[in-house]
Amino acid sequence: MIKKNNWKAWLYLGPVIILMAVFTFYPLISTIGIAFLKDYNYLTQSSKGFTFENFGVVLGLVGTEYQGTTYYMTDVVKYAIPNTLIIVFVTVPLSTIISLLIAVGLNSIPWFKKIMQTIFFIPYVTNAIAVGMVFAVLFDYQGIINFITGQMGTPWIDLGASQTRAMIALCVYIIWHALPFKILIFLSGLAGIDKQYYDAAKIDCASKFRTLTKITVPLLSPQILYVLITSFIGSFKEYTAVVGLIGRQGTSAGSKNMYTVVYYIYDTIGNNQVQYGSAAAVLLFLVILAFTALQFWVSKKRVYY
Amino acid sequence: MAKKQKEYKPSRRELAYEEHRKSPEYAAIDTKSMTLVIRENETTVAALEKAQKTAKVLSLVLTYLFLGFMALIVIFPFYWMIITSLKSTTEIRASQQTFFPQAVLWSNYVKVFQSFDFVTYLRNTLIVGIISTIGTLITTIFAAFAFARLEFKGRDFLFAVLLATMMIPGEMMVITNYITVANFGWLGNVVGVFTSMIVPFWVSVFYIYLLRQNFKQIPNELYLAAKVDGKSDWSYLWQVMVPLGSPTIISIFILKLMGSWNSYVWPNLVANKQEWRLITNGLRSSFTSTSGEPEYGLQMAATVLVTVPLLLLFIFFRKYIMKGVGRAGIKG
Amino acid sequence: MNKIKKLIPASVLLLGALVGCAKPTSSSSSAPREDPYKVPSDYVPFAGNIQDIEATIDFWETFGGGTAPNATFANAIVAEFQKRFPKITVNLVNHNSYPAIYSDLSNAIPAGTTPTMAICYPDHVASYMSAGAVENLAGYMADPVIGLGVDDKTEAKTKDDFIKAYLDEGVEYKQNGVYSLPYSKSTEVMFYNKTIFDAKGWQVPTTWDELWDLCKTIKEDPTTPAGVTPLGYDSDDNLFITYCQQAGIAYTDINNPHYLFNNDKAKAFVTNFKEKYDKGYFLTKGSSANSSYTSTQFTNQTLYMTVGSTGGTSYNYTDQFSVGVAGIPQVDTNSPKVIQQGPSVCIFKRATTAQKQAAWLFYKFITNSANSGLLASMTGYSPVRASSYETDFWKDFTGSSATGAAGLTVSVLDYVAKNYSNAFYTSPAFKGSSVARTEVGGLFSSVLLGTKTVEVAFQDAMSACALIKDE
Repeated sequence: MIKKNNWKAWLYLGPVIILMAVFTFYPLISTIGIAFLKDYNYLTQSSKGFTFENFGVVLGLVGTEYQGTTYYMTDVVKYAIPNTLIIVFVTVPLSTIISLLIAVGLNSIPWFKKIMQTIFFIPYVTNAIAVGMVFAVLFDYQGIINFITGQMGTPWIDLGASQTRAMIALCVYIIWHALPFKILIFLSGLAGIDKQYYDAAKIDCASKFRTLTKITVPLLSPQILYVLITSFIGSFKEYTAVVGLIGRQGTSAGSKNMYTVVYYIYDTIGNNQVQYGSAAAVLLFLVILAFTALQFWVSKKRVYY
Repeated sequence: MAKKQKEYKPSRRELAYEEHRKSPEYAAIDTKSMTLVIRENETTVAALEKAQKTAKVLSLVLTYLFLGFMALIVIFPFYWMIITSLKSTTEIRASQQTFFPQAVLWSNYVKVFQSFDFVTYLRNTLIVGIISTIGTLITTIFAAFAFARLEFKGRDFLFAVLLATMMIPGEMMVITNYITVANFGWLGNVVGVFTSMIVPFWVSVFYIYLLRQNFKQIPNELYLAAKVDGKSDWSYLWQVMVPLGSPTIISIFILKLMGSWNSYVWPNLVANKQEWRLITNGLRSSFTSTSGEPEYGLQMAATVLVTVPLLLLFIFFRKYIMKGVGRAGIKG
Repeated sequence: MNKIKKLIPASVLLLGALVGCAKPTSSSSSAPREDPYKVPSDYVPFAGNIQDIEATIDFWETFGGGTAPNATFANAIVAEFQKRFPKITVNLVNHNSYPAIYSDLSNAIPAGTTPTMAICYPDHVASYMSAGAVENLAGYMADPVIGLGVDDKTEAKTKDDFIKAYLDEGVEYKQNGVYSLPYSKSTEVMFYNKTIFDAKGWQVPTTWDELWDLCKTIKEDPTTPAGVTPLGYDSDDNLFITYCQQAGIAYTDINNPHYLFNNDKAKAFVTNFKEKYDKGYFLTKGSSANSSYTSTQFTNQTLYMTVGSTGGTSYNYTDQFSVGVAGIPQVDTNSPKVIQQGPSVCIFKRATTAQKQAAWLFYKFITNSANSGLLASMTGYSPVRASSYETDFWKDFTGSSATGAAGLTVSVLDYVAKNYSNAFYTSPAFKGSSVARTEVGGLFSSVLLGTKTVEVAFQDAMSACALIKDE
């Protein structure tokens, strides 16, 4: 009964397509192209030919010869990739669950609703520098976290901190930062759920837990899927959090143990080594693409519109 | 009949219960005069109600404790931002951090007003922010509508492509866009520079996806009913979908506005004259001493001045977001 | 560049007239080059009246906004300049930091939106030059009508008036010519806790050996509080590079192969310093918790001596004790070496002739004797002109019994003027020189902290440098 609206749809999509063609597709293609160029010079936009070696260099498989020794670039494989994976698989599930619980909680309380909702939005308006400073103080050698866990003097994010401890602090930071947006999405999603469903549940004496899992979650599934997909994609690209919390690529000067893939890419742009950054971006893209496709496939049966 | 959407599959227990409810025995039960036997103790409906009430209070208390705890965690950095804005630079750089300024320096705020072109930057940021946001809202609503409701060839493929563009880090595209914008000749004059700060960001796949999810939740029956009534897609979009999707749309409005407010890299690159700069740039550049060390107290004061309007904006719009929009329109 | 060393006339008067004739030694072993100051063949000499030059120029700078001393100074100079040359308008466009201006210019070059002139470091300019974006200023310097030393409203003296070492930095590029000119320069000095030194009767060390001996004394002294380290050296990379320069260890070269620091002598010196670090004799900013500046630690009295930039003099001042100024430790006091840093100015090719001429005039004005001296007095950076030290303003400034941070600035400027004139050196600037600097700083910190062994640290640093392909 619904006829195909080809031309009408394209009309609605017109502005989007045009803008994206100029400002997204075109730069994407040209920057992806750089990944295949040898010795690309950012300033003159010139190169020395076509090659696959950039991918090899980034993954530490292809070495660079200099004065008789061959050097391999191991930072990406040793630090950037594991760190990024940890960030992805730890922060996204945790922050999603926590923000879902908070959103449901916020929705159900009878008093102080407005104030609480405003409070939970505050991280979004707090300046990133300020946040970095605070966390640096909290995770300081003599800071509160150490005070509570009885470990005064142990470093979390500065000199001497092990990669594990620093990653824990980083994940806490990332989760903290991710909460307001997710809470907002869930809250506006919850606002759209018809009260009738909840009334029916009350009549059937459903427990809070059952209400949550059998009614709220399924009805919120489009938003949950959205949050999961965009969060996973975003966390693969995490970089500003490391800069905000650690301030540099590692817990101590000269170290790169807090590298993430996009941090590496960003560094290559600054060092006029864009071809390596592009290669890393292409590899990252393929990984994210595969992972997202997997997510969609898994979610097909569980998302209700 | 209308096409069925994905069905909610009840468990077997629920099915059995449903069956039971349809039976005559069930209808004959008179609940008011019953006594319930629980664990060989007799109890009344009243006692059961009391148990339920206790459980309710307990869960409420737990919820408040949980929320309160999270709220403290969430608000602490904001509190820190405010007290840092009132401290002197030496106190901030000291190794022992204080939880309340030793000397409250309102003068930091005075210095901020004096030292950077607050009003100019604010005006620029407002112009860029508002036009950016309105433009984004329009493109987002159209695109989300097309993806959610309209059937057309290549829909899913195009959506996948759009989603794929989110998977590349934005930093990679900056230089090409900068060259593009320079080639358009937009960088030499006021109108051009503002255009280049606004137009490239009139599309956000992030928000299109969000709104599409929301639009898809609005039942198809409504759409078909409107078609039967002879309404066009356009009027359906604006008279039914947008109002129903308004909590999300307002959220997008606020988030996008804040995104423009906080954006730094691109405006910094593109706005080459002091009077075209945005607040974020002014914030970072104005408060660094000669040898490059930032003066945090002043920076925080400026930051507070800049973020408070955003917070007020959120407070104002909050009730529109949280307002439940019932599905009453369907049954009637 | 020839390495002929001339002897400086022995008369170093109170406020020594620095007719600096000594050329700094560079670490390049190149064959004699053509004269970089030769007027390029494509230079069109200026014709007409200077006052007729009409242009609007953009000057990208890093002066900090608002009330920062650099910004206040620049704004005042612009106002005065525009009074003298009413047809020229100068727009100061602020960029947040040196890395920011480097990245913005790196983007502007391929996009064709470069300004007329900009603040730069030689490392940056080497990179811009790989795209051929920078104007050779030799022609402008020698021009009979608008060149250095002509009688125009810029009051800029001749080329010889520039501190030679500063000028030489602008000709140390691969291409022959003058591609950057000094704006204001800083160097490193050692600040020490004079109160304690006098009380204990300690001698201020002049060599590294003397320094280590003093550190041993301080550490073994039972009255020294527990958390005190004798020496703090703020910049890890400066320490590495300066020591290499002093000890004759190869660091980098202007020609390929560029990166020479992966050698046994360098590894030996780093190992040696690691031992001293382990004994608690010294620390650096990179090896300090929270990367805290050594100046902060010095004023908090957890360091008795600190080596830091003259540009940051005011941060070393405190009223808790008397602060003394001395030279940085040397390997050989007969052949002292101290680094020369600080911003320069470059002019871009992609500007109209009128704009370039206007920019040149502005550069001459802002770095003339009076203005360069004024900037120095406000910031602690050194003036770029020898004649700055001769002006009445300077004599008043240094003669006055200034106290507090200003007094310390006077002491520092005075010290530098008297003692450093033939000790300046610069490292070659080429595409990748800034990476080399970052990497050696990083390797030094890693070794001190023990996060990497010497071998691994050098290996990683070389690895990062090897990836940079030459132009």
